[in-house]
Amino acid sequence: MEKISSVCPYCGCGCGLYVHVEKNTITGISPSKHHPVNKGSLCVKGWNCFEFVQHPERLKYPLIKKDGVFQQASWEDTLDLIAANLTKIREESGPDSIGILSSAKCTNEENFLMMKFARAVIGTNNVDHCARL
Amino acid sequence: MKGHFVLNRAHLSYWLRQLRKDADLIGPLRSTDGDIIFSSIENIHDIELDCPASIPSPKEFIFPQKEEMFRFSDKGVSSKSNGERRVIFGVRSCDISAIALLDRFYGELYEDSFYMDRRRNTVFISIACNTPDPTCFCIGLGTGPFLKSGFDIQLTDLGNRYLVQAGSGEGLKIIRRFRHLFQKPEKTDFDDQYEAMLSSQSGFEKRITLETVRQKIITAKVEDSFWESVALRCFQCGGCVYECPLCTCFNVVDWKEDKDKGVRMRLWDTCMFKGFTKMAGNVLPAEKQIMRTKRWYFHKLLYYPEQFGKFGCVGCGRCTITCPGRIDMAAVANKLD
Amino acid sequence: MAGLASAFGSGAMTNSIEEIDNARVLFVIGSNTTEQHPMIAMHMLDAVDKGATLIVADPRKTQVAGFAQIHLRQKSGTDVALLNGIMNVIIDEGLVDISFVKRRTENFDDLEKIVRAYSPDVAEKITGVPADEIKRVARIYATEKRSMLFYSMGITQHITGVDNVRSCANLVMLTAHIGQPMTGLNPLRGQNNVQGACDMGALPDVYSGYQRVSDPKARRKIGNAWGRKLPARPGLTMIDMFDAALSGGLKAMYIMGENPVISDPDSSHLIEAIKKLDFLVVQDIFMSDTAELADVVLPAVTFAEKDGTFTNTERRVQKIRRVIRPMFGAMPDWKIISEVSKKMGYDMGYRAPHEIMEEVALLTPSYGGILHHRLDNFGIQWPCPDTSHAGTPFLHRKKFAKGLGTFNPVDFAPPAENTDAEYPFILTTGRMYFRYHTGTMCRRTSTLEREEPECFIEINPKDAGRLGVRTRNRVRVLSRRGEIVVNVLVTDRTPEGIVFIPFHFRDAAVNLITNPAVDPIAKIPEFKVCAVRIVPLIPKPGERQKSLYNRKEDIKILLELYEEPKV
Repeated sequence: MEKISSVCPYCGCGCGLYVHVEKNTITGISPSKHHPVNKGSLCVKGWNCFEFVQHPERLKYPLIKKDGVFQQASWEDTLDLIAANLTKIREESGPDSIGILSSAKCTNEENFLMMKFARAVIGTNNVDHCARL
Repeated sequence: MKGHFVLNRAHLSYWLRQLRKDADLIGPLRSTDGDIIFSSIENIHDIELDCPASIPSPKEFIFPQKEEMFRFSDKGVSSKSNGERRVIFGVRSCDISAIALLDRFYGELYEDSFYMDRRRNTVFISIACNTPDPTCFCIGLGTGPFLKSGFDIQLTDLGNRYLVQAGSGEGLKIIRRFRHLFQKPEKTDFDDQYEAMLSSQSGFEKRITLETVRQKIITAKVEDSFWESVALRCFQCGGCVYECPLCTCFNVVDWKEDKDKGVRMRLWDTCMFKGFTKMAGNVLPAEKQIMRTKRWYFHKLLYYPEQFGKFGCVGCGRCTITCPGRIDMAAVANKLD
Repeated sequence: MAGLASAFGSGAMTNSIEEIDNARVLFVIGSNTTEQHPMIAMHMLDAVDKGATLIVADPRKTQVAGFAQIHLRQKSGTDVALLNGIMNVIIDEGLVDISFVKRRTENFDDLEKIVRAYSPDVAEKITGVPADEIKRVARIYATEKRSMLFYSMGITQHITGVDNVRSCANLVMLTAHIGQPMTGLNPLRGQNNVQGACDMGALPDVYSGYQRVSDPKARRKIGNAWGRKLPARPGLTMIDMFDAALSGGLKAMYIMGENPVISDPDSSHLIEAIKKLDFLVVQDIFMSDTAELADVVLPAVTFAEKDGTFTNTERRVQKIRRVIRPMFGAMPDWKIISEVSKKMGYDMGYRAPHEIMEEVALLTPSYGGILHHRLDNFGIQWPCPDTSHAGTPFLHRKKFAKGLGTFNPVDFAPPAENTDAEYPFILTTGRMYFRYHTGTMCRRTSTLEREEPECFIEINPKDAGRLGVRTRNRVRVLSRRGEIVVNVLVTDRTPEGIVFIPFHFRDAAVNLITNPAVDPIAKIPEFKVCAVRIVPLIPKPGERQKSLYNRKEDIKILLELYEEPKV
């Protein structure tokens, strides 16, 4: 049994918490007593922020839609397909014909990469996320 | 005296290392962020011997927040045993008192096999509290800071040595296995323990007698307006219930994993939510927060004594730390007293 | 954030959450703090217990308003008039901090000119808040030194969102409640890493640390580091992207961890736009409504399966850690992006998130000293220019990020949509405690799902009486754009003439009817005001009331079970 320090994935408070893990399974959550924001408390969402992580409805593998139906695909094929399509569209209609939506749920590192991907790889400033909602 | 031993402080880590050979040793550590957390011990010297109350309570080791009950498929039901051997070191007296009551709740009238599986394979080594926290009030409840019985093994820190008391057969067994580490206690050891107890008792900031509160409630001297004022400040986080070493509520959830198989789990739940008592037809018998708040206190202060002869509170102070609305047991008792 | 940036030069909570405990006045506008930021409300309640004055301005009677000594129930969409009224009193009664205004700000004269027109009586007429209350609030807020101002989406999700924020900034500067501990202007951000996503430049006009793409120096610096020439023209915002998709200008989209089909206004319009795309990639943890429309869906991981950092609403950059191995065949988002990029001929070459953070620190002045190994003790608050810097608990101490603070006076403008005989109610939308955003995560959490499984509409008892509906009755809610069916919850939380629907429910997605009109600068949609009509539904004889929960059928089928009352 281990407890690993992390941050709540729900609202902008950024409460400190510990994720309890045993044999690669999450068994619980506890608040950080000294964290300057939550000081040993959590809200109901924080207390229950572990249940969805190992939910069986999680997306398990890449999916490609063929004739309107999703089919399981390998990472390799899926990444090839994405790269080929985005490259083609960029060449035919220009980089500004592609839009990228990053996420307020993802980490800083991932947001930075997404905007780097848009600007350096695709070549467009069409990158945004849902800060406004 | 029978069942009493003395352990040289320098030998503690050796003893724990031996215990770790055939059990998962769990104890209080200081995390990278400075919090006290109970987890598996890698390096014995990391253990915090003088630890303040942990969050959450050690009930998580015998009644985890989320636990798999069994798996089911079209071929039948299978369950795995949760009975991994564990030694939990550094638990406080209040929590030991709570576990003694939990054992009755989950084992007396009806035996909860998930709880008992874990319980039978767990040994608790508690440390009598020499320095109570500002939030502690076990002293008014007889659930601490030093225990006379109910523990597996209780250590009293006497500076260079520990007075070791075995309170159960399981406890005595793991002392006897390493008999060469323990000496017979002298009279001075008992004198020093008594001194330590007196100094600990004088260190309590909170003096709370729940009995006066109980009497007030029984004699109907507490009006609903009081509970209304408490309920107003409830944030509905469930923290008091999740943290409480004596709260036992859970919910059962089925996860469908595939067309033909799934898993049933139980998760901590709390009576502080209106959906907890939801009935068919979407009827909510405790729709108002005041009903739920009142019920929680009544359960701890009235129904527990009726059923078990003890309060459903051990004075650990965790609800005081965790409640964002500051309406914990100590605050309520203070206002009513 | 645009409103804050134009006043101070940077958009973020100016002060820290911990400071709330010792503040003397807390002025909360448009934030249901106890439900949406409970742990911040905890600090507010602590302050109130210590004797602080809590002032809440919100049309709804929220739980936090219950703790307030003063609750201003302004009409929806009249925040500017309310704030201008308060400033009018402050100027009129000589409560302005003149030396601060002279030393640290510019454009005061313009403010004075506009605010003069909003005497408390005028403000009362517009907002419905009694003039005496406005005067009282102005005096309390201005005379106490330790006054903190908080706002949230209750004032930003309007077509006048930027104006509202500017008015708040004006008020804060007028009274010198900034640049000191326990003061400031504090936006409470909704999602766990909205602040970080903005800081990292996931915005069409700025790079990380709000360096403008139109600034040739920033463009050259970052372009050199990345070895590419970068585009100079600002890109499209999310809402513009969907408009461009509809008109054919945008051909492909790559959506990571968002579900705009539920969260965006006027979702039928948006679904149409998405269907027009030639190619859509969605990367998420669950099959979302948006992912259903995609050509390719990529399985990403949750916060417990990856390393990285989040930035909270008080600018605190904190570490999350990998707790378990990625579930099933999922991959961390950062790895997926790197892989796609490699396939497109640009090898990013990162092996772990801390290497990405190193690059962020190199290219972003405000994150200059923020590296993973420094974040162990509850993180660091930016700005943190170098590795010897301990972080900044409050901003604008000696001067504003842009030098002088600028007053941006604004006039009151009514909401985009008004009530009339046909659509007599104002609908406002928002969040609820047990739910989170579009429900992707909380619908898979048994406790949260159990508490509020069905969507509801809050109606004031007087309005409910007039409509002849009771709690748990079902009504049709129609706007000029669409309609939904929801259950009634009669409560005096919501004032007469206003109704409230939470936006979390896919089965009764309120954004089918909300107004997509946006703030011209920040492009935030007007979720908080739209005009609706409410029609009670009475089950036809012999029909049972069906659950709205997990409803798959079309609204038309559902409506066949009811008959409309004869008026």
